[in-house]
Amino acid sequence: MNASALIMWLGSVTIVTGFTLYFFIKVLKTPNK
Amino acid sequence: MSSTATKEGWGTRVGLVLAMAGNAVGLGNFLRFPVQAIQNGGGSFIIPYLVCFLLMGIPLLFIEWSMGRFGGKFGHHSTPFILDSLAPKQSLWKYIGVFGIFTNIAVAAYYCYLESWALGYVWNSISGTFNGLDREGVSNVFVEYTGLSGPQPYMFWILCLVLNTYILSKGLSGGVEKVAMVGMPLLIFFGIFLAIRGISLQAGTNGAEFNGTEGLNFLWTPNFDTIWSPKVWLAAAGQIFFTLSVGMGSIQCYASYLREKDDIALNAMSAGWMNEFVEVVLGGAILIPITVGYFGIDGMKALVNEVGGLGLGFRTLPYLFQQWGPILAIIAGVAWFGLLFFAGITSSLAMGTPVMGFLQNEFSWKRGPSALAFGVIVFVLGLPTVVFFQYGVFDEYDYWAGTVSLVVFALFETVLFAWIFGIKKGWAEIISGADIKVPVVFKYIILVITPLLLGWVFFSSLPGIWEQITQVKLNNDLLTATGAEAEKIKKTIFFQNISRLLLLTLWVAIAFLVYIAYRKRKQNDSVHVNVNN
Repeated sequence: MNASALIMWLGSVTIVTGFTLYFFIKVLKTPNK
Repeated sequence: MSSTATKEGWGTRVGLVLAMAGNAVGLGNFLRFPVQAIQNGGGSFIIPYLVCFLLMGIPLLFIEWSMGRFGGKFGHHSTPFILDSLAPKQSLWKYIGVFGIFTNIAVAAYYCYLESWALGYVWNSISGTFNGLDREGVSNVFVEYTGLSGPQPYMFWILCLVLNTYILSKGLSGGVEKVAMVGMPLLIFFGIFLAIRGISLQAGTNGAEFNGTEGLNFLWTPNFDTIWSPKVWLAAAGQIFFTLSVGMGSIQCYASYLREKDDIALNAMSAGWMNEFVEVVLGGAILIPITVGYFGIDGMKALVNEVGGLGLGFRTLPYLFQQWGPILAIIAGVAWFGLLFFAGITSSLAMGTPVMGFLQNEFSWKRGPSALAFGVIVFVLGLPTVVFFQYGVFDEYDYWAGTVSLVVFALFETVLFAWIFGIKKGWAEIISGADIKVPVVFKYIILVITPLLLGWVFFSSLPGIWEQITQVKLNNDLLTATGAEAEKIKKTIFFQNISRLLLLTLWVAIAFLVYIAYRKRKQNDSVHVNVNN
């Protein structure tokens, strides 16, 4: 893969996976009201 | 207040988030997104795509979740009276809310058929239908399948309708939530397996001629020249629409079963980002890398132009899986079509819920008969998409219900929420009970940017809508066509017009039911006033 494609791919995957895990873990950890 | 206080509700918070994510995740995440990216600048497409997600997708999720929970306080579980509760003195909004039932029925009518293809192909992968066939042979299986050459398409379609009806009849926590709790993890597991296979595909192994990473390279190489093209931004905005299932009325319905003090901000973000994970991370790593591995960049581009993402998924991938050996071919076939099936059924269940909510709330129907009514309506309306598939009925439903209707409804609901209900009250709704701090910038995005973006998407689509209405392309094709081809175009025009008539009749029928429900409510209110006096 060329450098720009690799940066776009890894950058997008990291951002999207990061936010997905962050919010889902927060859902799991937040106690019910 | 509703005539029947329903006892529906979500069993667990994780179940709700997975059901909402399942509602959003559909076949488009795997079949539409990568093709849109390729056609609109490759890697640079992700920039307008993520910007549209932030400026339009997330705001619409906040709007629809909070509208739903707000309407739920008054016992409303479908958009006509959810919208009415936001502007009780302006009686026309409930008829805008008709779109939130219309879209769900009309989309379900063709979507359940699509879902049944995936289920049918799971069966065909296991039973060895594709064994020993060349690419043409595998492609012909699809042509014969959609051409209804045997009983299988009908059987799987009916099976899907029965499954949907049965699960819906079990309610939210007893049916929809359970399917999401099983289906979503399985979908992600299947997706990760196929993505790893796609990325790790090596030239010279399993018959592949190129590395799978060449597909990734092609998909993600940015072409920054296209980034300011309105066409690319329109495509990005359109993709965000379809992928999040906003503008349908199903999110409002699911959220209407939340309690008043429940969070919506964190739930909305979690479900929304989970959909993005499935689309960008998994959806981007399966279809294109595997196809490029066997056909190269030029071959894949030719195939995309010839059969589109849907064709690649059903006509080409089963053949490519055959190159992986008999056992892996079955596993990959089950994983691919299984994930498409789970993506489909978690969405079609979300389409049934608003219809049931409407019948239960306004006409005091029980859950079982409401689910059955949904199944029967989808059967009747879906039958033309099955029988006359080759005459474009499926595409016509998809265009009006699955494309135009979404934009129209989302535009109106955003204006209602931000400008009629008022952003002050709207923002208070969004942050009420929130388990995360919602950046205040979203208040201004919802007030100004989201309506402007939606308006731009709508008005930019008008020329295309006019061309579709006047059937310009078909009429032009007819001028040069002769013999059987001309006959087919004439039939397509005829069936397109019949489809439009059916969809229009559906919309008017729902609007009439909303009117009857409104009259009933007025009568009940006046009885209450007389009793109190």
